[in-house]
Amino acid sequence: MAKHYGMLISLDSCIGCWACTVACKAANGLDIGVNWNRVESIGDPKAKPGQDMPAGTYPDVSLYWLPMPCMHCQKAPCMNACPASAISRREDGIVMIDQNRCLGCGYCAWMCPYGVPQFNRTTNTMGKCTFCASRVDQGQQPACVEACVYGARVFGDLNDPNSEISRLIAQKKGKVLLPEHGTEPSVFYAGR
Amino acid sequence: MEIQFPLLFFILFEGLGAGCALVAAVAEANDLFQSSQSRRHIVRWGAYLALPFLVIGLIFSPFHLGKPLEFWRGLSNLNSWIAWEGILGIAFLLVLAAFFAVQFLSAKGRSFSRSSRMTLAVLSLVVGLALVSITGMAYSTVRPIPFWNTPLTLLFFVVSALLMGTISVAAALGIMQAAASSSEVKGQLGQELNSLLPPGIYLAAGMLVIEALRLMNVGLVPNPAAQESAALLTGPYLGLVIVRFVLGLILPLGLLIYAWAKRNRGGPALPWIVTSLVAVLVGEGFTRALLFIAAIHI
Repeated sequence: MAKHYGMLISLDSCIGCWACTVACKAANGLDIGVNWNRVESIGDPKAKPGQDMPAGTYPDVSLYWLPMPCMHCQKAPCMNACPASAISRREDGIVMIDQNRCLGCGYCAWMCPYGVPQFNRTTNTMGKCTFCASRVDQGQQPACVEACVYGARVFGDLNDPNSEISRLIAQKKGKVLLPEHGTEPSVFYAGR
Repeated sequence: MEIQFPLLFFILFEGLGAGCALVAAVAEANDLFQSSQSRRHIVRWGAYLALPFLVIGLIFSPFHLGKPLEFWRGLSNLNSWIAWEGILGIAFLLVLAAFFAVQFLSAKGRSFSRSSRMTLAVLSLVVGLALVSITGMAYSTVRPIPFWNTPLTLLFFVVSALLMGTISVAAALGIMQAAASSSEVKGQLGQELNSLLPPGIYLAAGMLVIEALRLMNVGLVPNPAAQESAALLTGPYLGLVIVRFVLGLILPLGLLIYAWAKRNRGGPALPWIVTSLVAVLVGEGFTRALLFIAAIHI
């Protein structure tokens, strides 16, 4: 059976250090302002972007972080939406944007429920997390997985029931974000 | 979302061009089916106005792309509404060029067969309607933006095009009537202008209802992004919303009703029609700006 790469992110292990974001920017040579792996702070709804403000009143406060790579959806709305056919899914489930075909129209960013694709002002094209496909092809882990200090991220083959990721998703009851959109993401979350 | 001005002007002029063409096409089909009351000036001026407006819109369109010179790549994925918008835009350009040429040559005395005129009318109607509908679908199917994700968005694009087209052609006929020296031509232009005012009034009233429903709809959707859109429209951008409604819909509706009443009594109404056109165009520009400003992604 073909591999289907996915990721599990344990939200009770993520400390919001943004090491994954920095590693991603370094591994992919991203410009200032381009962020393929943002980390959302989930606390007080009145908090400004980038502000870590807990919800609730002491001692009943709540704050956690939500890393948001590309979900590499099995029914990726960005793929159908792209007028230039620049977005495709590899056999292993990794969704890629072909930089030579991309026009930079931004329609994929509108259509993505997770707000993943971003416009790169240097290349004038859209870009997003690729699960570090070139590293994965060489048997390595994505940069964000290796950089995570507390091991909050696990990457592997979802089609292998004996893989660490498959066992952990079953054990921790991993869930996807926004299942009602029917996109069938390959990134699971556990711990919240 | 930031206002994407190339897109704003593209959808504004595309709607204007399509609207003029639709009015001309309906008038031409009407003329060919029943020749009791000719609407040849509506057909002619609709065709004359439609082509340049569409060209202006199509010129703006590539500039919203990161790579404008490679816009042709955006026609390849037939699963994408945007690709269909591009394909139909080019097809419509060719149809309107033919429509323009036929009307121009007819004015110079050349005659064309009934079947060729009917073919062009039907093509203009079908392709024009398909183009604005597909533009509407491209926005209304964006699920992650609740403000757009409603059938009302599709209806907005279609009715907006018809409204702008109807009043534009009416204004053109009014100006030509004022400039005409022959009383026969003045009379014919006047009759055709009068026939455009009731549809213009209905369309303006319909647009008022659609816009009110769009605002109410976003306020009722139980989704944080929708609530944020509603908060923007009733908060910092309330002034723009008011201008859109008052200047862009209520004022033109009143002016069109007044113009129709004046013309029924045999009086001139050109200033009111032209003013309503300007007001509608400003209003349609504002509402398209609001389309982007209030587009909050989930």
